[in-house]
Amino acid sequence: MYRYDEFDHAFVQTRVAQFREQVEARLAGQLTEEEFRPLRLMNGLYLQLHAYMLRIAIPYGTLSARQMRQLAFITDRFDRGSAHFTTRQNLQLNWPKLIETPDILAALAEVEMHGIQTSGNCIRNVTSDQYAGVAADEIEDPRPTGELIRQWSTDHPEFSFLPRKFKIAVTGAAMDRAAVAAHDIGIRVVRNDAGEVGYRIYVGGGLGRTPMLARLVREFLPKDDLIAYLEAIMRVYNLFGRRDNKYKARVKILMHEAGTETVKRMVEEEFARLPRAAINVDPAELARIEAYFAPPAYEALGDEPALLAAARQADAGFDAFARANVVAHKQPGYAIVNISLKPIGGAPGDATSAQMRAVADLSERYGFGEIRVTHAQNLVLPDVRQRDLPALYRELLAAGLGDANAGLITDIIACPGMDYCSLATARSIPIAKAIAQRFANPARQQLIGELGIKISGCINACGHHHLGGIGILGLEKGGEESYQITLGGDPGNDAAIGKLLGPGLAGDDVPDAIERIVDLYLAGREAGETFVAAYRRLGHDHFKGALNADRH
Amino acid sequence: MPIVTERGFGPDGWATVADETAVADGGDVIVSWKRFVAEAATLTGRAGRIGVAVGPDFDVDLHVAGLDGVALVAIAFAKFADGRGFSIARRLRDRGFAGTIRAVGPLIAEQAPMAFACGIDEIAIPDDLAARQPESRWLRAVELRAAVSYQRGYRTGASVFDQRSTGGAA
Ligand code: SF4
Repeated sequence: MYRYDEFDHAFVQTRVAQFREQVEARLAGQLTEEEFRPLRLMNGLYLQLHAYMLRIAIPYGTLSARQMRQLAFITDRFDRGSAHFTTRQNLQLNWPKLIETPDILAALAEVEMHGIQTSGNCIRNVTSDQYAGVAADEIEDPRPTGELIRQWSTDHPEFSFLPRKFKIAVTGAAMDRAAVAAHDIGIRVVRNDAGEVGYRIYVGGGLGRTPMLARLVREFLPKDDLIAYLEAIMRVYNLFGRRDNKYKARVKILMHEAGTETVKRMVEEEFARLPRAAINVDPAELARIEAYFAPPAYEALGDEPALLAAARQADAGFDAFARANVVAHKQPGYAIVNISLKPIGGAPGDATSAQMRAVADLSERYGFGEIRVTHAQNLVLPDVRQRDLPALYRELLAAGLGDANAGLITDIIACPGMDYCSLATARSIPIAKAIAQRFANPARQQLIGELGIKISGCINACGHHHLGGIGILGLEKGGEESYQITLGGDPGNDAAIGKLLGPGLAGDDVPDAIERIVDLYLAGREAGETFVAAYRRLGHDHFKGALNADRH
Repeated sequence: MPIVTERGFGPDGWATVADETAVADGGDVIVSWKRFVAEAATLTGRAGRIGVAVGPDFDVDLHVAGLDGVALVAIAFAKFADGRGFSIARRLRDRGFAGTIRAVGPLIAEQAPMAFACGIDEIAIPDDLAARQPESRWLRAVELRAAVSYQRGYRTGASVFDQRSTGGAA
């Protein structure tokens, strides 16, 4: 993992001191609320429905055990004992007090964390593949690039007052688990024909009111040119992105209105003109960062198929867990373990401080003290010895973290919605709970297989509903909540935006409709076909009847 | 309108002249870009220095060649949240403009170090803002920012990236 050096420490500590002064200036009236707003947003502090909300960055989704324990401490000390993991590899505290937020930021700085740029119209927390560095299908660990971008984008003098928020995701694997196509800039680490490793750059993805997938702007960018190229993109966006309407201010709209080719040309011209050598970072610096992500001291082990087969035979619960939550590791004898934060009836992504501490302990006993946070609002232990899997499973069960539903229909992604969010037009969490309860039977979940349900409580799409195999968007119509269902969304390599199935439903009718969609899928699928694959083959109309069944 | 620089508040040595007002022969004046384009020959022939006021949609690449003889470019910031002026300043510097760059508008103190880093030399702020945000806040913001900055190629102290590779202090 990356470790802060003296400069990184100095930066976050200065930032905490500055924020403390800003809070005082606000309380003294030197800053109006309008002027204070961007300053608190740049430190992750939102004003929500009932209280402030503090959003903490977990850059590229990697946490140490020590950091997790500090987050647990903060959750107890400054919140109500539970915190919420988001779809953007952030952690949200829902009840911090304004006056205490500088202390929270100071506690975060102690463990090399912050809330910087988790909100506001700036370059946001960089996200990545939750299996980075351990995935079997990886060209290169994307996290050093993520860390370089984190540092470069921190408090950027030119790009801190953009037309709108700006999200960058980076992945280094053959399978895109970071949904790069849904980001303002998506970066894929690639190898060209000459065998060199570089970046493929996509621009203009985003969800929200007008969902769009990012478009390719650079097939191959040499690694050393990354920062200058990013500055060229950012400058074109900063100068020419729309500022007259916040719903049209994302870079995707610039791409859409000016055309991909025009934007591409503008970026390349800017890139050609700017003083590249003065801007790019010395490759030695990336190498320095890379050294922190060197693989841990793996034991020379062999895979354990016989042991695992016997354990699965002996325990149906473990069998289900191994099938859904355990993923292949690049290192023989090891496995990647997903820890579900989606217990049936729970709020998706919520973890208690006790659970956070339990995960920290387990990461040390069954790994190298490292934890990942996923955009599906789950956690990951990246380096578990295969022979330890049965014991780890028992411990997870004891901590209330043994749900064997990763990637299954009850592994629902949901934003906070009406329960917390001031922008919400409908509830998300109660809908997620009702659907999970409907499909609680583990055998049924396994029968259905891989299926992503994603729920947003308003058009802003924080729940990424556009990318759900089944997406649910909560709107308000004439004072009533109305839920629209979309089908066929896919965040992966064949990224797709879901298509609207029909008119909105009342919240109470949503579980029935989902059940009918699932029944139509089960009736129509071929052997081994996932929901999205079957949807693509069967077509949208195959599912049309699902909304009308009541009226038959 | 106080003028904020890295050294604090100071008076405005330039007279900003409205389009319909005649330009006096001596003294340093700022005129609109539109007027400058129309009257360049006479304006650059005067005794005093000439500055031009540009909007946040000013296209540097289109007009930089026409800035010969211009001693100051004043970039309007309609509101502090509109960050286009930072990129305009940055482009002016990139493309070789060596005169003074001024930001005009209700920037907040925290933005001053960003503005200076992008090549802006001075910020003309409204009087009411100066009354609410005393000089000490602006100087403090500059001081805090000077401590650490990562980006290379901006007008800041040495970038963290460079300090690391040279193994220490800037
Ligand atoms: S999608 Fe809407 S309701 Fe949900 S968290 Fe985002 S802004 Fe709030």
